[in-house]
Amino acid sequence: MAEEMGFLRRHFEDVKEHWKSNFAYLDYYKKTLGRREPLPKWTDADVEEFIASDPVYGPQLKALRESKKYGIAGALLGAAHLGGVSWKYSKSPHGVVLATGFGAICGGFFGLEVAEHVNQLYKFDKQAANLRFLYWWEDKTLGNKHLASGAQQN
Amino acid sequence: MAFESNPAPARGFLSGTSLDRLRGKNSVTGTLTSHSSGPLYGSRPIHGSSVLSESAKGISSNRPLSPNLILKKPQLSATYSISHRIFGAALCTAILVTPVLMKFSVVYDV
Repeated sequence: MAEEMGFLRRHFEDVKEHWKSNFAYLDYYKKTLGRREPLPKWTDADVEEFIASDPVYGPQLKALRESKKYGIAGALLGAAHLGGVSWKYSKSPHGVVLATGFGAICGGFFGLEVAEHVNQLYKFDKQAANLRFLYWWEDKTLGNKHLASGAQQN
Repeated sequence: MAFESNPAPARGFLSGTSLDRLRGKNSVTGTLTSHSSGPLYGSRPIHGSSVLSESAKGISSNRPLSPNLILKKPQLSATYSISHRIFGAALCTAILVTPVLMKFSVVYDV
């Protein structure tokens, strides 16, 4: 069998599984964004209900939600800092706007890094915590309906 | 005018430069300035002889820039160069923004 395949094909067969595992993280976006019809809207009360009901993934989702404010605080701090420096020293108005936006992005990113350590987000799979809630919400709202057509929908 | 009390964006683009002096007015307030004793119109220079800023001494304000893209015929090599830079910048942006979006999306329910 191996002799029949050309060099390129044999190489492809060798590395196929490796690249499949490299891109496995895209599965999360297929399950969250790639739905054929979107899930019904949920509120904060629904998320609180899930957090109270699930002993494993509830605390993880709670930590994720608490780390939101670190990102927002970091974004405000970064925007104020970089925007303030450019406001004082720059001669171009559009440069001030761009610098403020860039400061917000960098500050938000850094704020989430702080939250990662404060709330110990590195200990668990953040995508899995989100997916557990989505599955719980899907079961709660749609019941068994999604199982009938779930084969195509995934 | 070594030090300005207002920050530059508050003063406005190119305000306080020779362009304002050419126009004979302040671009922020819009008021006419009476910096010259003679008549304002008819005596102002067409080609500015005053400097744009301290760092660009000797450059007059209304010279045509080179290359003048309005006058130049578009050529394949120039078009390739321009589009090459545009696509390069877009690719760079996409590569830089993707991990940022992935990090934010996990926390902010996106």
